[in-house]
Amino acid sequence: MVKRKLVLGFLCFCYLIFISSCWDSRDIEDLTIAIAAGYDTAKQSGSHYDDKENKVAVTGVFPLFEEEVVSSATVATNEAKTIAATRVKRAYKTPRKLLLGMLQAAVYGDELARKGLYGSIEILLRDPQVKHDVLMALAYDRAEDVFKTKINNYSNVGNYVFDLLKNSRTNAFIPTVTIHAFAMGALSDCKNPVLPIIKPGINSIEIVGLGIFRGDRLIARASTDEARIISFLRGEEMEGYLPFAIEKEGKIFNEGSVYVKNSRKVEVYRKGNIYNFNITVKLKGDVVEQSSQRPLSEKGEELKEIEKSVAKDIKMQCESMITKIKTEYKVDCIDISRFAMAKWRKELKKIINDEDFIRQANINVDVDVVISRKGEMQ
Amino acid sequence: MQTGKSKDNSTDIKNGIRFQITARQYLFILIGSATGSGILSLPRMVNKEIGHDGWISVFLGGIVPVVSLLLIAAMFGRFPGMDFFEIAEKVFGKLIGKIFLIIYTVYIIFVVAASLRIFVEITGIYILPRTPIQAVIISFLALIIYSIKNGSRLVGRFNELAFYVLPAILLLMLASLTTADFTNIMPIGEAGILKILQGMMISAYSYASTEQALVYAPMVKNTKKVLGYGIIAMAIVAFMYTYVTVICTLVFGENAIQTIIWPPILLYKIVTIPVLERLDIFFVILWITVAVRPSINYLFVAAYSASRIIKIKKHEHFAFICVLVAVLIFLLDIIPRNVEQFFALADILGYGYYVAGIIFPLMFIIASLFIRNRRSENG
Repeated sequence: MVKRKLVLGFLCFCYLIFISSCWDSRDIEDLTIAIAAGYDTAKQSGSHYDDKENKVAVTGVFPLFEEEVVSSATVATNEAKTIAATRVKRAYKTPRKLLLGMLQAAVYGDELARKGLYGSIEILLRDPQVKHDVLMALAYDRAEDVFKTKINNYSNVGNYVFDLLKNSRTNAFIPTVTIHAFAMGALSDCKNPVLPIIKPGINSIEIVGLGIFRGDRLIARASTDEARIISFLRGEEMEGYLPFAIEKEGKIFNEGSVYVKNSRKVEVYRKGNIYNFNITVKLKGDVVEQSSQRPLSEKGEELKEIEKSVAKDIKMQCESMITKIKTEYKVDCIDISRFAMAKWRKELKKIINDEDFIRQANINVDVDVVISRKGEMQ
Repeated sequence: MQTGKSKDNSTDIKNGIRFQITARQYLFILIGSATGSGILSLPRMVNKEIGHDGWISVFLGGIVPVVSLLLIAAMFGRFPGMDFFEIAEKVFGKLIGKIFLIIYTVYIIFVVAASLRIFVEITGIYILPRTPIQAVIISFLALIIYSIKNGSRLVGRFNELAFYVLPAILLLMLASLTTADFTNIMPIGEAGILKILQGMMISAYSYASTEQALVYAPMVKNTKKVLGYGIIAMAIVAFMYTYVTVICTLVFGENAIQTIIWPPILLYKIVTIPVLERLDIFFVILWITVAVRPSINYLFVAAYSASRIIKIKKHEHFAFICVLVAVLIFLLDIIPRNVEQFFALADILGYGYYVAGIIFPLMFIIASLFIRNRRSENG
C-alpha cells in the first residue's frame, strides 16, 4: 500500500513539474495580443546593417486592456527583410511578448499582392498558434494605411476590419475569404482565389471591390458590382439585396428590391477539344420593397414579372463578365475548371492553368430566380 | 484462516487474471494500437503516392491486417494451449526460437519509441512548445508504466475507455466539411488498379497492430472469439482511416494536402463553431487520450516479451521489466535530432510490420508442417 502511494506520489510530482507548464507558463499581463496584421512591401531601406535589405513592412494592431488608456489599440509598423525579422524589430521597441493566437484579420498591400502572397501567408499557416480561419483582405493601396485609419465609435480598427470582412457575405455579396481558402486556391491546380479590397476613407474603411488572383498573384481588380456577379458565377453562397425594375410600354412600371441567396450548378461536357460549361445561377429570395401600389397577388403574376426582370438583368451582367474574364482577366476566377478536372483530371492537369483553356472554353449562363412574398404587406 | 497453500493458489489465480483479457478488450486493444499518430500522416502519404484515389488504397489496405490475423489464428490453431513464446521454442528450438523472439521484441521496442516520439512531438507543437521533449517523454513514460505494470487486463480496460472518445473526435471533424470541395475526389478510380494496389501496401503499414496479436491473442479468455473480434477491429479501423482520408482529400485536395504534415489536425483549425471557439484545442485534448494507446499497448508487449525471453517470474518482476524497457525507449527517443528522423524510422518499421505480422506466423506454420511430417514419418 505504501509502495503504491509512493508511486502515485512520484507520478503526481512528475506531472506537476513537467506538464503544468513550468516552461510554457505565460502571464497574460506580459503579452501583446495581435488581433489584426497588415503586410506591405517595405517603404525604404534602413541605415543599419540589418535594415539595408528591408523587403516587408508589417503593421500590427494590438488592443490595450488597461483601464486608464484612452486609445483602444496601438498600431505599429516595422520593416525588415522577412516577416519574422519584423518581430525582432518590434521586440526592440516593446517590452511584451507577441501572441498571435488571437489574430483575426490579415490585410495585404496591393504591391505585395502583385508579387505573390503565398510567401507572406506561409508564416501564419506554419504557426500552430494561428487558426486558419483568419480573414484575409487586399488593401486598395497599402495595408498600413488601412490600420492607421481612425475609426470612431468602434472598439478598435482591428475589430472593425474583422467585422467588415466577416459580414460582407451576408450584406453585400462580397466573399469572406480565410487564409485556408486562399492557400487552397493558391496551391491547387485549377483554382484561383479572390480577395475583397478595402480602402481607408475619412474615419471609415470600406469595401471597394474584389482582387482577382492567378494562383497567389494579384492580376486585376473588379468593382463592387462586378464582384457581385463574380460571386454569383463562383457559386459561393451569399446573400444580399438586388434591385429590380419592370418596364411596360417604355415606362418603369414597378421598381424595388429583392433579398436573395445565391447558389449555382455547373455542368461540363466536351466536344472535340472545346470544353463547354453550362452555369445555372440560382437566386432565391423575397421581395423587400416595391414602388407599385398594386399588391402582389396570390397567383404570383407580379412575382413572375419580378423574377423575369431580375433573371434578365443578372444574365446580361454575367455574360458581360464572362467576356471580360475571357478577354481581359484570362484566368478562371469563377471556379469552373475544377468541374472539368473532376472528369478529366489526368488529361487536364498540365493545361488547366493555361490562359487558352479559359479563353477557348464555351461558357453559357442561365439564371434561375425564385421570388416569394414575405412580410406584412400583400 | 488461510493455509499457505491456498494463499499461494489464490495469488496464482489473481496473477493469472492480471494477464488475461476478454475478447472485447482484445478488440479495443487492436483498434487502439492502430489509431494513434499514424492516422495523422496517412492522408498526406497516400495522396502523395496515389493522388486523389488514395482513400481507395486506404480502404483496401485493411485486407493486409486481416491476412495477418488469419495467419496468426492458423498458427495458434496448430499449437492449442500454447503461446507465441512456447511455440517459437518448440518449432525452432531454444536458440533459434529465442533469436526470433529477440528480433520481435527489438522491433516492438522501436515501434514504441517511434510512436511515442511522434506523439510527444505533436503534443509539444500544440500544447507544450517550450517544454523540453525529455520532460514530456518522461511524464508519458511514467503514465504508461503505471498503466501496464499490473498486466494486460488494465491495458484492455484503458483501451476500451479511450475508444469511446473516438466518436467525438470523428464527429467534430465533420464541421470541416463546410469547406469541402467534392470535385477534389473525382474522377474516382482514375489512378488505375496497379497504382491503387501499390498504395494499398503503403497504407497497410498504418494498420500495424495485428503483430501484437502474437502476444495478446493467447491472453484472451474465449479463444474461439479471437479471430472474429480481430477482423471486426480491423473493419472499424479501415472505416476510420477511410473516413479521415476522404475528409482530408475533400477539404485540402491532392496538391495542398502534401504540404501539410498532419492534415487531420488542420481540419479542426479551419472552422469556428460558436461556443467552441478553438476546435483544435479540443481536438488535441481528446486526441491525447486516444493517441497514447499505441505506446501503452506496444510497451506492454515489449515488456511482456522481454520478461518471457529472460524467463523471469512475470508476476513478481513485471513492473521492474517495464521500467527497464521504458528507460531503453527513453534513450532511443532522445537520440534523433528531429521528428523527420523518426518519420524515416517509421517507414522502415512499416516493413517490419510485414515481417512480424505476416512472415513470422507464416514461417511458424510452414515449419510446424515439417515437424508434423517428420513425426509422422518417424512414427
